[in-house]
Amino acid sequence: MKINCKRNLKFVMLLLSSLLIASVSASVYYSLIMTSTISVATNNVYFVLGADNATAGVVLNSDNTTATLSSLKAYPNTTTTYSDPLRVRNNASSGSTNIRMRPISIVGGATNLIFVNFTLIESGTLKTSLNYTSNGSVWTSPSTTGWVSISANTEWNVTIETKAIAGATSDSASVSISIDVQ
Amino acid sequence: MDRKTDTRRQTRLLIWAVVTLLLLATYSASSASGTVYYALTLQNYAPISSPLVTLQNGTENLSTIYTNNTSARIEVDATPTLQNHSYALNITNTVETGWEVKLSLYDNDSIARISNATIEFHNGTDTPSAQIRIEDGNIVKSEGEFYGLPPSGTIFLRIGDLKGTSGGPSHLYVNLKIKNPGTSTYSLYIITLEFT
Repeated sequence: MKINCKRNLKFVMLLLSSLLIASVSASVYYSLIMTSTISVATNNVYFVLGADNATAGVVLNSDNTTATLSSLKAYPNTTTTYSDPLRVRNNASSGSTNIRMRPISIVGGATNLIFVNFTLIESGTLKTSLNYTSNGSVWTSPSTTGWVSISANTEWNVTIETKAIAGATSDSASVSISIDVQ
Repeated sequence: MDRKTDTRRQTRLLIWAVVTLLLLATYSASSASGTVYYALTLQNYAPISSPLVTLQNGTENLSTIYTNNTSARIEVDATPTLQNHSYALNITNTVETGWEVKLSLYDNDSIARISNATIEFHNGTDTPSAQIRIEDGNIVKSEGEFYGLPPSGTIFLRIGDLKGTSGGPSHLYVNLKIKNPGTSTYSLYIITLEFT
């Protein structure tokens, strides 16, 4: 079988020409080129149990990236503070890492709870906080916090505050938040 | 021979075509950016519970107790005559778990007329534990030490050595801090003391 070399050559040249024409006739723009190197990050930042984790019923998953607090309580007309149920640890040996708190969801309790607050504390110093507040009927979801830098080999307390309205006898809220690690 | 040469030429042309296409694609592709992060998830369940410690009016009938028995107002006269009110308020533990409690002053007004007062805890038989003290119109102690509230027990708030001049009312706004022994978990009740 004889291959028609000339015809193929013409076809390829035609293809190239059309591509060039197509690219040249496109609208004029300029590009900023960013070259990124993406490496797989190890989880240097994770949860660890706080000193009074039992009071809040803290359970961590196997890789310490999910914490479930099942024994929190809210009392009527009373601010209850869980100062050290859970900590965020940066286990890196050097440098620092940015973290932030981001709301995910809150379900239930809007008519009887006043607030559920989450605060990151480093040795008594407030680093950032995420506060869900209710107006008596609906929850106001907070904005995602700004990034804060946690130093290597450091643990911050996750402090939780709850308060129910006077006269509340029963109700509950399920709250999920995320701590993003950059 | 010619056929082989043609095939090589075709291959070369195809390679150039592919390279050209790749170059065009590289330079015309838009770049993308994003923030790479991973998330730690915190799931919480917070039911409302009945108070485990309640406030009740003491035998001297000086207190007003508000809804849920978690806040109170104590009203006493402050006169030039020395007064003691040993049972101004009852603090009752409703469960079989012990607590630690203390008072912490967070605000006040018009206390210059109070020449003397000590707010303290006692259980009816022990030496009172001073929590807040006023001397010559000044607050000299604004927070006490933790005092034990036994399982299902009651302790009493005492206002001792109270003396004052006219010109009231004066107020002390106080947090009653109720803490789980051995932990840093606590609740705050609000108690207002009014000296008329």
